[in-house]
Amino acid sequence: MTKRYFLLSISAIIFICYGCATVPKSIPVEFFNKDIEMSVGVTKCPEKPQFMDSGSGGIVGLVVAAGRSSEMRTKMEGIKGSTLKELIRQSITNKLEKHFEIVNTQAILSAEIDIHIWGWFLPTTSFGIKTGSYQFRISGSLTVFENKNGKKEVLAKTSVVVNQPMGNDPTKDITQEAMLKAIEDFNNKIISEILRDAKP
Amino acid sequence: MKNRFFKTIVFILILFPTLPIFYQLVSADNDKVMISFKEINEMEVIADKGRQHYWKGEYHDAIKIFKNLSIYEHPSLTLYINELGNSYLALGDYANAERCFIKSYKLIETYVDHKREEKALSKFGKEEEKIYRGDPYEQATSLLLLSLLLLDKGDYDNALAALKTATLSDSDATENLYDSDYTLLNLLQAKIHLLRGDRDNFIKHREMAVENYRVTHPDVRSIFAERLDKIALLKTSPDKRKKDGAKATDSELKTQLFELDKKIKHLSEAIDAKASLNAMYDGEYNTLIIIPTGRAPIKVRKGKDAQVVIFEGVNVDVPTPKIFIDGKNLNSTPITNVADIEFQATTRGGRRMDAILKGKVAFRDTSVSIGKVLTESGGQVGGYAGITMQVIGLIAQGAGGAVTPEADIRCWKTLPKSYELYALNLPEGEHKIHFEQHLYFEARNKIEKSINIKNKDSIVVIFGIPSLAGMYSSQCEQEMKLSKKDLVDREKTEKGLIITPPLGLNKIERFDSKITKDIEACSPDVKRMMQEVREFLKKRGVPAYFVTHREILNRKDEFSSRSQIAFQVVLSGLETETNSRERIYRASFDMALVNTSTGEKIFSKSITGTNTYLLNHSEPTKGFYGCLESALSQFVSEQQFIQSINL
Repeated sequence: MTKRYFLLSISAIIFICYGCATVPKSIPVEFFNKDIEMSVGVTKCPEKPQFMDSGSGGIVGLVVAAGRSSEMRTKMEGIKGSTLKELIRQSITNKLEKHFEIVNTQAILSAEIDIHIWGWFLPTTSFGIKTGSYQFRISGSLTVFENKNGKKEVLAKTSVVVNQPMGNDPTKDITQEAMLKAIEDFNNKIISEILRDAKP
Repeated sequence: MKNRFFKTIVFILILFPTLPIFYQLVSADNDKVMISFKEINEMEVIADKGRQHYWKGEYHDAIKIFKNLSIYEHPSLTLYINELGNSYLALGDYANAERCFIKSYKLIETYVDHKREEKALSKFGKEEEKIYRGDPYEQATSLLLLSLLLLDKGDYDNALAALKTATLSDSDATENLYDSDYTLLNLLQAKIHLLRGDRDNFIKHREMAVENYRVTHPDVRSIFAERLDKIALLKTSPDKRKKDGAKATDSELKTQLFELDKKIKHLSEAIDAKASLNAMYDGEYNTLIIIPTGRAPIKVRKGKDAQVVIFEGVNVDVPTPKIFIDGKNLNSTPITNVADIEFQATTRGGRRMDAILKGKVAFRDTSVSIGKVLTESGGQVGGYAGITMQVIGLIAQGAGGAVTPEADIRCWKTLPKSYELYALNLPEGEHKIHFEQHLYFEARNKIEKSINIKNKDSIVVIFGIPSLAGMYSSQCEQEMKLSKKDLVDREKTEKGLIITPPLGLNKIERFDSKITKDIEACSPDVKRMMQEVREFLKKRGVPAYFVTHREILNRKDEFSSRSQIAFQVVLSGLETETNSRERIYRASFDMALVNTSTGEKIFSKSITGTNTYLLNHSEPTKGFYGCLESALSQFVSEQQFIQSINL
């Protein structure tokens, strides 16, 4: 009997905690059309791009990936995490300023973007054999906080992964073009999710 | 037995990577210089530089680049000849432009390389290796420009021939799936028939032009396109229709078509083509001014294997030039929607290459899938049979990966979004036509042309200057919203200096190093730059306010009457230099104070701003804004700046 009650209470706690931890994906409707102040920033972004493959290549695959990774860095031509951060911030600001008053100082709402990973992705098989086209991948999340009495409360959070095709032989120009398109795609997806409740 | 098996496996593994080399040897064409895909790509990178010059109004530099790319025969020659011709046209060199468009036409007709075509169509060949001939809209526009040049020379027969060929290029002559809908082609043919005294053919072509005008009119085009889709669907077999997820039956489609026809008829009747086509309808004009506006859409790759081509619009709105005839501003409304390149580019019938590319992607997907199954099953089977299966699986997956389905995205990137026309009936004698392009408030690229109207039965064709679309920062594609604070600030600043968005900025700018080849990238923020300029001027007691890109385009006169001077900045170059301890950033700007009423520069100077950081603390974005501040400081310290502001 005691064991049953114990299990039931544990389950209840798990359900309650899970419920609390589930953050809505979009900003609640009451925050729109009031020109509420919002600050925008990209908080995390790896400084170096990462080469990603399907990951079943073994040791040979790792060696091949190292070569491809160095090729990727050459083709980035000086583009680093800070460049990506700034591009994402500018584009997100531009999209959000249609709904909020964007400020550079502390605001009622703050939008924080975390970029988890960015760089080239190549589908591969054993020994790192290429099985598809190169893609530019960005994975990240956007969290909107409400600043109440000096405390930050999560209002909405959404995550997105985007891939932009680059073909079989990405050049410097193709890489840059794909990166800009990936950023646009990433921002469009993340913003449409976070502003789902906003009236046009 | 064991050894023999392993030897076979090793042999296959060694042989596999060499297959592409054998393929290259077998497919090489001994009669012609085989330009590789890499070389074609490199030429496109160089051509893009030429295109940048073209859109910045630096036509001599553009001509130099396109000329170098057009010396010998190669698969992209026709494209670069067209772009060379277009650059000559922008410069007003009609003779060389004509030569280029004639050469382009001849190349399309005669330059064939079967081996190359076969290679492009094969599973492992690249589509960009095929000879560029241009989409129907590109071929038709090249011939249209040629016909206009011939018309200006009075060579009506050849102009008519070029227009007829252009009409054929714009229609599907082989399968008769669609007719040409390029209004200007018919309007010009009508005019030539009138000049030759052939009234029947004049009326015939004019009626065709009116029909083209109506179906391509912005009010009708979407419904007309829907009608074409329904007709295409009606022509497909029921099985294919089912496969594509289309549920409508033949009778339902016919009913929908009937309804659409009624709608089109109703909308078409409401369009007053006669009034819109103005003098071109009656053919009573002796001067034709053609103004290229905006930038045509460009081809980009889509799909997981970059195998699909779509057209993407270049969305920075740009002003059209001012036109003066004998010193008087031409205030009449231009004739529009008769040569809409964007519409022509995006509404052609299905490309032949698309189906082939889909086949390549299907081959890749199938090979990779089969390969995966074999590799995974091989692992479970074990033993020699298992290893064999795994090796074959890997080969299949590798073969799939080696397929190159990427679509060819070469296209004529110096074409305008559309051509606007002025059909005028000027009195006989000499006239001076003056074009003036504006870069926000600054008057640029002033061109004057003298024409001589000899008699009633002649026509003079004049090409206006293309827009300076390349000078506007790519960040202006998105509408800039000023904050409440900025707007309040603007209201308060009654007669301050206008700060326009900075010009010549790309989304990504690079600090190049001539010595170490150590490149650093940054992404300048247009708004932040404007803020920096405003704060800097404010600190020195110069009131200033922002005006956005769109505001200048739509309300320029309003701002001109409010403020006499605008502050304009153009980024002209970035450079970096590193020594053992420091990194030095250098950014060059062309800064100017412009008279908002006349467009003249009151004071301008090219300035290089410098910013130095310790090696461990250097950051290109910070470096860039530091350079801007340094350049601003130099500019405002100039005596002429202070004098101009006080004036």
